[in-house]
Amino acid sequence: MSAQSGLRSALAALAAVCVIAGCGSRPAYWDSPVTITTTVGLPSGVALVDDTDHRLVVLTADADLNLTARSYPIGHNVATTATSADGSTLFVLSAGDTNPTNAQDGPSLTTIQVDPTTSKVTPQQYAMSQPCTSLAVDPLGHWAVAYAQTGFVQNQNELVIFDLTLSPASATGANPNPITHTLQSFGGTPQQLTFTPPLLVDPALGVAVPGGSVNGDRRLLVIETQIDVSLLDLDHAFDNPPRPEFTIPLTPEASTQSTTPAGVAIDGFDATDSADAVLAVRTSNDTNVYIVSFGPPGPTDKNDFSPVVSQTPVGGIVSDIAFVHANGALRLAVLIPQLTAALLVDPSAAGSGVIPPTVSLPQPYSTLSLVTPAAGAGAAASDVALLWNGVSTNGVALWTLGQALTQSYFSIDVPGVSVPIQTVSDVPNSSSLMVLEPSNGSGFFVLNLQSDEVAPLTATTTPTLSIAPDGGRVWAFVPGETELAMIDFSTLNPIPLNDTAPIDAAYDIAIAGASPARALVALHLEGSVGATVFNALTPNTTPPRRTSSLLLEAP
Amino acid sequence: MKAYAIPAAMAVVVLGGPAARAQSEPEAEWRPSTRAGDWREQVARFEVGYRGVFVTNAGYNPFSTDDYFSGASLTLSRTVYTHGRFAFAPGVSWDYGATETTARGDSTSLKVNRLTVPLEGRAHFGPFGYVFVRVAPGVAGERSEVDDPSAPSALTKSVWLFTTDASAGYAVPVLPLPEHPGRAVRIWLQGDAGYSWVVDNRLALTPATSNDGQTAAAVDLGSLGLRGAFLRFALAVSY
Repeated sequence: MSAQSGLRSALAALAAVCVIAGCGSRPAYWDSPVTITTTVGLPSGVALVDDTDHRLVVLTADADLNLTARSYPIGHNVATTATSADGSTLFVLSAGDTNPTNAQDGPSLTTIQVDPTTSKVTPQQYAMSQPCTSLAVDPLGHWAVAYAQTGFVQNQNELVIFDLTLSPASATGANPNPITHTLQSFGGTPQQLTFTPPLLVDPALGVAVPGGSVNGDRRLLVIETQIDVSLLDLDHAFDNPPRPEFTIPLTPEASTQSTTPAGVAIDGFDATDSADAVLAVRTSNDTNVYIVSFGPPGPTDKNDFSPVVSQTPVGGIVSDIAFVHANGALRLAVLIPQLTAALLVDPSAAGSGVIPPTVSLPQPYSTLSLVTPAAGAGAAASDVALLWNGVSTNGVALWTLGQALTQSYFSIDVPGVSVPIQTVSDVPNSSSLMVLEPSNGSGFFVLNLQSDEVAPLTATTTPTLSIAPDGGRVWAFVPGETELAMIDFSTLNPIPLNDTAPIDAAYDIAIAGASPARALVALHLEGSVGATVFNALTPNTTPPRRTSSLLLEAP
Repeated sequence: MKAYAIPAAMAVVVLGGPAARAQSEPEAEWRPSTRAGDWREQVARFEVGYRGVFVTNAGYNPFSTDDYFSGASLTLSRTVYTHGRFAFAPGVSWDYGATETTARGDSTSLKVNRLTVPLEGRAHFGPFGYVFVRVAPGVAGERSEVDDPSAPSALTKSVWLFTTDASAGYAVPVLPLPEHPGRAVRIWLQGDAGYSWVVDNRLALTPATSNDGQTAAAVDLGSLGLRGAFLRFALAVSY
């Protein structure tokens, strides 16, 4: 080979190497802008769902207000998220890829548990066979249920039930987790799911015994469809063969109009008393409430108990219900806005056809919240309910249920809130404080239930509130603006703070290992996400710390 | 146009050069190196070229959509020693390259200035030019920048780092060699390939300005190792 041809060959090879090597490209997620639609406050961190990068980013703060970002993989195409009742566990339901290349890319439920004291994170992923869009999480942390399938062919009555106390297990194994359960359908599909506390459904079965195999203490899943209500025994949901659910039709057979359930109340005050194993169902287009108690099974029942249903006419469409105690007696409190009244229904007399006497209200309130411990009513002999969500003045009312049975006229107390209230929030760790947000957005109120004081706090712009989980303070900000204020509940003194970037969300979190230190993380969801971290206890004397590009991860 | 298209085109040009020259200048016309005025002695050269590095380090991903970093290269050298067909020529080089793109929606850029001292050994083959090997230690100034709307200002970091190139290549004269003795202006086309190495750069970017009452934390993008195989094509003038 001549020197010239050798040279030509060498240069041609170099050109080829150049072309081939230059074709190398970076991972695709670098080309996708950050789009954060879900942020979640955890006890000691803030979680950001980065669906583009298929990860959850958990931000934690240290005593110097530095943020640390840690990433954990989640399923592809996030459908919804939820948190546990104590806020320490985040649930991410993912629809998965259309044509997944492996199990991790298919439909799944990822649980991310963050230890509130150490910030240690424990992720776990449960694979699913079908994508779903909705998720219900057991407030007691035992179960989660996914429903509302998506995809080409869907079975909307199939529930995917996860036992969160067990590790994920293959659907083809001996003890699969999750399992699927198809509801018998009469035309409805699940719309709302509610987990009951333990209910003694049949005293003959005995009460709960640790390690015992037979008892009558059951956790039930209440499934509301458009036309009926179903009850599923969760404690036996993983049996093989599975036990069927009970379906309670609400629409009379002769009727052409469907009766649609609109809410459930559960009397689970005492798990060892069968008298407290009672459910109530209200509807959106029927003037009855339905009381469900429990008894022994019928001869053909595959369950070891059965529901007993009775209906009580109340004279109007019910907007909210709750089981309460009035002078030691169990009652179902019923709100009927169209009558501007409330009722106390005796569950034991349900089905008698008698409409209980009404309690007139100053407003057609549509929502009630039990505030007994906060209002200082003492023992559970009589509860106190806060009535709200009215339409005009007299924004809230306190309903003293002990007097309601005897002196109904004197049972209503109206604090000095002169605007309709849209949202009522408890203040954690407080025995008396509640935060009321009006529907017209003129500010908010701090209601002291013990002293009947109502402190109005006005704002120039409708604020978004973030109540600190330790109950010490509330933060007010306007999404997309830089104004921020901290209001200490002990003084109600607003401390104005200005961030230098628009705030999209704010979370008051504990600083792990530095209790009682806390930090306020104000998120800026622009670019690749930034945050300003304030000392939550002394925000006006400690300079905040700004961190940016939190989702431009290190290689 | 992809960055790698430029060196590819230059390669084609270089490929065409020697073929045309071989037809017009037979090998027999080559005079021995003992002729007075041979270009191996006391020759100063100035090179202008293109330099491309194939960077596969993950730290480069925020700054480029591909694994290629291109730039310009200027070199000034002088032959200081000859022995037979061999020569040694030290010099100085300045390379400049820049890349910009977006990373997760943020605008990013990386600018690199390299100042090196190329130490080049040559073996001449008469009218066919010469082969050379080159080692070029020096420093590289890297300026990385991320423009993130969530940051108070652009996040930047500038640093000077130790760098070294090691390469081998070939230079061919473009014009026919002069017959007369003595020094003369000559034009060359040359190409070399090798490996370029720069000390890792920890990308702790900080805002250029701070806001009143706030302290700004650095953003850690990991380590950038701007190293990899490289190609260089240059047009040189010697005298």
